[in-house]
Amino acid sequence: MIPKNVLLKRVSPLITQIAEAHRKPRWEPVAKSKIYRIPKRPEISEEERLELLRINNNYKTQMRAIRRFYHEEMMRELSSLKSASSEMSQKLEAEEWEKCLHLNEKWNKEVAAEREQRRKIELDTMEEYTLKRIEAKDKEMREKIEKASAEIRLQKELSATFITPENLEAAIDTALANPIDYNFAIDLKGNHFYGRDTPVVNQDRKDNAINANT
Amino acid sequence: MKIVKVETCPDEERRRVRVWVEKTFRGRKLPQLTEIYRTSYKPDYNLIPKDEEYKLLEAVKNSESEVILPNTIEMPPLMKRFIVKDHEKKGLETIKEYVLPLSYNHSPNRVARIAQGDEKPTIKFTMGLGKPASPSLYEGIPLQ
Repeated sequence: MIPKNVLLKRVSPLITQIAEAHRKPRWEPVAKSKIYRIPKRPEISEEERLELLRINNNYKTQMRAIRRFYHEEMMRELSSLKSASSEMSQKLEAEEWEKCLHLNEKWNKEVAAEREQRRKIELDTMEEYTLKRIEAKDKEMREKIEKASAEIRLQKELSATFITPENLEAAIDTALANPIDYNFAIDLKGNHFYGRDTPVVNQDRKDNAINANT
Repeated sequence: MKIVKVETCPDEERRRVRVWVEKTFRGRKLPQLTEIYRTSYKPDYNLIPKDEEYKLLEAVKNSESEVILPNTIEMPPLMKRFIVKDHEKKGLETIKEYVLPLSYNHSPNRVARIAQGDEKPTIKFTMGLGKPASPSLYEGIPLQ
């Protein structure tokens, strides 16, 4: 025998009810016995059809009339509202325009004063800049002239040694009298060996030869 | 349609003919004859023998009266009261005629004409049930 306490204080009920409609699952196809069943079309007699058509047409006409009436009323109200508001808004707009004009003039004056000051400063700086540039240019020119005159002086001094038609013969004579050969070689010790046909003498061998001779 | 005139075609088109017919659409005869040539198919037509022609002509003759649709319809009773109250509330002048303007769908195939101005319509639409098309369905029911 189960004690009464256990039965009363149990967690889950003895008989559970599953809340589910008595129908087949959604994914189940049409039953085999019902595949070829074609539901019968509802039969409406000609009289009834005509009457239903008349009533439906009547209803549509009535509804259209009512809808049109209210639509027109709404449009009328909207337009009247717009016109009423437009008069007010025109007055307000004119006032706003006047205010804006005054404010604009005031701003213009302020900006003009500011601009005047700024222009003055700008002009000053521009003048300074140009003066500086002119000075620099002058200096540059002067330097150039100086350099050129120095060059001229140097060339004038050098011109005394130039070969002219008058002293050409003498120059040729002197050149023939002392020919200069620039074909020389230099060894590591800085000795110059002039001439093309100068035999190369090895210093070591030369030393040996000297030793052998003595 | 009623065949009025048939004409043969030149030699190259020996199998064809040119036909002029009088067309009737929704009980209205078209003002001009219609020519049928080439762009037509035999199964679209059904030739009626001469002795059965009178039946068809009679059917056309019966529906020749002109239909004029009304411009307006009376207001529904509750709307009448509502509008009176509404206008009082808004301070508008009260309406004297409780009618609504009617609007129709536009179609080139409509044969019924819409009344213009004060023309008297042949049909009258009401907000009530109206005249039943088949009274046998309302047997034993009092209609207002």
